[in-house]
Amino acid sequence: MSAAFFLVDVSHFRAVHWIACMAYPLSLSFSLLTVVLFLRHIQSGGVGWAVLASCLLALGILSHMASVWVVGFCIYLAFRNKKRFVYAVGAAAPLIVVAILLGIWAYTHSLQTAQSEHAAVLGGQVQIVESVYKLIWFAGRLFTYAFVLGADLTSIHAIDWVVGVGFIGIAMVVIWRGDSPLISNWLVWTLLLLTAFVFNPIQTWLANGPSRYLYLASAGTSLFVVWGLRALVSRFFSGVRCRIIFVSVLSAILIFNIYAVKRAEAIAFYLSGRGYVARSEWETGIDVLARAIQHDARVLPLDAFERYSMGCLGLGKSPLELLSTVSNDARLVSLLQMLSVVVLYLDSDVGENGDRMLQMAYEQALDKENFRRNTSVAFNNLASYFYRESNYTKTAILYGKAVDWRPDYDQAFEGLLLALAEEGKSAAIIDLLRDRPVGGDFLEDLAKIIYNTGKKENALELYQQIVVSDPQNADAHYHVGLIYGALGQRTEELNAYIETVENDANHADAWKRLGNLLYQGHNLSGAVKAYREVVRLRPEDKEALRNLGQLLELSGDEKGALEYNQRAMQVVPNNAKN
Amino acid sequence: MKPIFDMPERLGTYGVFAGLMVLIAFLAFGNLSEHLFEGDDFEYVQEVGAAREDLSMLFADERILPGRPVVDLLFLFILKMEWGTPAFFHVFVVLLHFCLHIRSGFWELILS
Repeated sequence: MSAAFFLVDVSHFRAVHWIACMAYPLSLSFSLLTVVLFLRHIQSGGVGWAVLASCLLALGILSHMASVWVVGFCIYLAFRNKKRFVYAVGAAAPLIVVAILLGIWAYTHSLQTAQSEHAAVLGGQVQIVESVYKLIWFAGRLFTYAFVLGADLTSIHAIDWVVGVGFIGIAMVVIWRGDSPLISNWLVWTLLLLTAFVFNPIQTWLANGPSRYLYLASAGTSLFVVWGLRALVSRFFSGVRCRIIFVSVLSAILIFNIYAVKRAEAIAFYLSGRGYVARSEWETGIDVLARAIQHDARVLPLDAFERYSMGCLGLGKSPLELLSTVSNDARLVSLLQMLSVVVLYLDSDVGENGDRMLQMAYEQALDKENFRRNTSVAFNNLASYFYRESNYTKTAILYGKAVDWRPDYDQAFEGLLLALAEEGKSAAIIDLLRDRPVGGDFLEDLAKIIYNTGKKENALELYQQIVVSDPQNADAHYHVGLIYGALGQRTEELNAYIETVENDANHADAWKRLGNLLYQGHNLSGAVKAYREVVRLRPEDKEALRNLGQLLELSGDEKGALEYNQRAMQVVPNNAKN
Repeated sequence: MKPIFDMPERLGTYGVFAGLMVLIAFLAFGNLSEHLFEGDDFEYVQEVGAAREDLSMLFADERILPGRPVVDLLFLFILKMEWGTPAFFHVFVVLLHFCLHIRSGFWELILS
């Protein structure tokens, strides 16, 4: 029966639900085999058993480092056998050697990555008080996971304290008295395998607490539960009544665990959906998050609903259809109030009414900072949808609202500028940029968009801002030259191309335009020099070769002219090559 | 402590027990095969997938879950056999857990 408890024990649900946690079942498999073989070794004294046990321990440690702690359990078993510590250590010596060697290897190897679970230990961050605190928490969670589902799983609750202290106390008494060797052994196993994880950090963003850390320890507690229940029922009842009560309670606990494991699946859906959204696989992410909410909304953190809503808006969908099914959840009041206004913008421009309704919802919100953040992200995501739909007017309005709700939201601000650029509203952009400058590359993108809309003067103003902030930006100088050229201001155009080639001597386009301008200004030697640079950079530029030939002819260099004219004639056009 | 039930040590008893456990496992984990990857699964499959071409990738400095070569090799084997779908991985973990629970039940008795 204890095996059945272990099968559906909700405390270790993450180790079964999460593929990357395959290490835990593997490690437990090898660890239990190690123990069985070690017992054979101390019963028969055969060296072969010790060697086999060491090999399996090695596999266990190379699956998960926690298997190192199994050595402690083996020493305990040997000690119980003969009550001599020296004998126990001697019997477990091969295991100790393997554990030290491979333990150090796994430890140092795991330190090479910043995400290592054990890095904190060698980083000198081991704190005794915190470790004891975690041991009590983990011990409590072995029994309380089903009860705390729906609460914040990453923090310790009163019930964890009570049950944790109670369990450790009972375990100490049972081990000390030693009346039941079977239970004592497995209680030692549980405490040791809990201790193996007390140094590990708890990642709060995972929203599932220490569940996977409890996998190895829970192999011991499942037996303890059945043993405890049997002891309790036998004490007060006998005969048929004892059997009926025992089976009833046992079945109730099993059913409760199965139900809790099913509920906890929602967390797996949530974390999966979150992962897909983070990888910009929006459609899949939203689908999986929707499944999480449909599966069991009560066990999910608020973040699940927020991510689902924001993802839906980014795809131009209303999240309210699904969220209205869980509208009785008190945590969602503010979110639903906000969404009910924002989704109206999907179909029409709500105008001042929308602002007023949002302001009212904001006044009522308990967590105002969260409301502001959610509202700005909601508008931002909706705007990104309309941007993809090329509805730039609406995009600009929505990005503007996102910035209104959170002025430091850079992504929304840049989106607003892009939308305005697409609309050709360069004056508005320049106005906005006066108060809040943006990065050079982004500014260049904006300038190009505005240039393509045909508003050259405004594009010029942006490019001039770029060259002021980054005087070595050859491309910006070049574009300044292009715009001056389009506006017919030849002197400024010429200066801009000179700046370009001074900052980038390999800018062939700038050399070419510079050559043309110098030729028009009757500066033949300057034009020849510029064209020689073009030909150096583009030896097969037919137009440049021909122009250079003509320039040399005008300068009286007939030999040079002949050479470049011949080269121009030898150049095969690109389309002819194909 | 006296046993509450005097269960006969017959093959049939174990058969009923195994059947019951399969049913319970199905009830508890039946639809895990519909789940997709999550969290580190993406990077892990990607890392081990890269190791199909170059095994030294398994010992690269920047790994999501370093120091677990046995798990890496198991992942590698699954990917090599072209079974690397989320559904297969989930069913595999559940099977591993199922086998482990049966063995743990016997081992608990051995330790007595």
